[in-house]
Amino acid sequence: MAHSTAPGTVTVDRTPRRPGLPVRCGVRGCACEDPRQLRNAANLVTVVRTLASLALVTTAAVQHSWPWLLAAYLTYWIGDSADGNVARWRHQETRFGAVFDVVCDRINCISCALVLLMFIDAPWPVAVFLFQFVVVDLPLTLLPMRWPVLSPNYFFLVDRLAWTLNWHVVAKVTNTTLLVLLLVFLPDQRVALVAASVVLVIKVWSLGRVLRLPLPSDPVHVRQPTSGAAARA
Amino acid sequence: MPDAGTIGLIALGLVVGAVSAVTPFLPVEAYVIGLAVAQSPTVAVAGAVAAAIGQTAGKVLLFSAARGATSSRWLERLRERGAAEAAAIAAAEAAGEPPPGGPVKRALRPVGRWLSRVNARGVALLSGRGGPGVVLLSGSVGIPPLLAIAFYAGTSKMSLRAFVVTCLVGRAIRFVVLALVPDLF
Repeated sequence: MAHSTAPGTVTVDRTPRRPGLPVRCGVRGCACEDPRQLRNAANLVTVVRTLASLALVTTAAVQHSWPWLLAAYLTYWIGDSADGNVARWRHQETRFGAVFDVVCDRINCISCALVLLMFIDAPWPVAVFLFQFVVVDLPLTLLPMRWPVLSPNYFFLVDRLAWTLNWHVVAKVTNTTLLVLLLVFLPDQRVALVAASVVLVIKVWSLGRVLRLPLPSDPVHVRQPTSGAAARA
Repeated sequence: MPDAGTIGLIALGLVVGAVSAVTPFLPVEAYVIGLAVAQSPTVAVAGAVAAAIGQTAGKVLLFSAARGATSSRWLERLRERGAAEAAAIAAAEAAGEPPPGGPVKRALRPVGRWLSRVNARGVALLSGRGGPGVVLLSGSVGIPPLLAIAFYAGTSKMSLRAFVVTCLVGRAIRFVVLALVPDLF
């Protein structure tokens, strides 16, 4: 049930998403917005893009064909963007969906990176990237779920610097595409190695920072950001 | 009764465990630690047990693949070729002639002999009474790597039941400890 608190104010629907779930606080990205459903279009897109990219990358490996690998990468990248957009567009963002997406990202990214090694002999940049992406970035990206936010995309509600460095759209696109583009377009692999190392340092630093943040006092609702912070987000 | 999201996170542990069992590039430990720091201890432990079950399922796949491969015609041909090569080398040495093969092959021959001795000892260890103990140690501590042990165990005389039980217990110990680590601090 939607209601208006006063003339001229924004209408905020505070009714729970489903019976038994907490009353919504109106902050976009708060965990109280989670409908707690597994079967939705966004998760279906995640499943389809993960399996499709895996099938394409397997074909690329078997046939030793870079066009198939390109198709696998594009399926992963476009699908990764599409599942988040579908979730936002259909108001289906869930905390499970956020974790599911993170895990499926690792599966697609690792398989594509390993097959990339069949075409570009760059073991060190890829090794540094894989270590960063799986060992450091996976726990780091799961850490925001300590706070009552829907996904790491809303971590600016908790810590703006960590969010900007790790979950701003530019940071996310950079993390998944930069290494591949550098390896493909720059003949000197040292550039890719330096870039992968810089990202690793940022991720390790971010992990330390997020681990030191004070835990939330309210496990259900995230704190309302200041008006300035909300406008910047 | 946990909500769908929580059940999903636990089930995802099963999937990550199974996938990571066959590829060393996706360590399930990172997922378990992530779950441990972000969720309640109950959910983290449940996710850890699910990950252990998933890992065991994946390792059973490797175990069965290795066991199936030991009776494959391809491996049989490979063994016959190896035996023929060893006989040719022995005959050449007995005749006081240089063994067949180029310089690289000759240089790598001692490494190959050492590897086959290690292989034979590994298989003998896993076939004996200490086999399940090795799997338990590998599953819980990670040394020797469980990926290799699953293959070795498949080629040994260890029963599938002994492998499943020790692998599951070892992995459950490892992941539950990891899931409880954040509560210690």
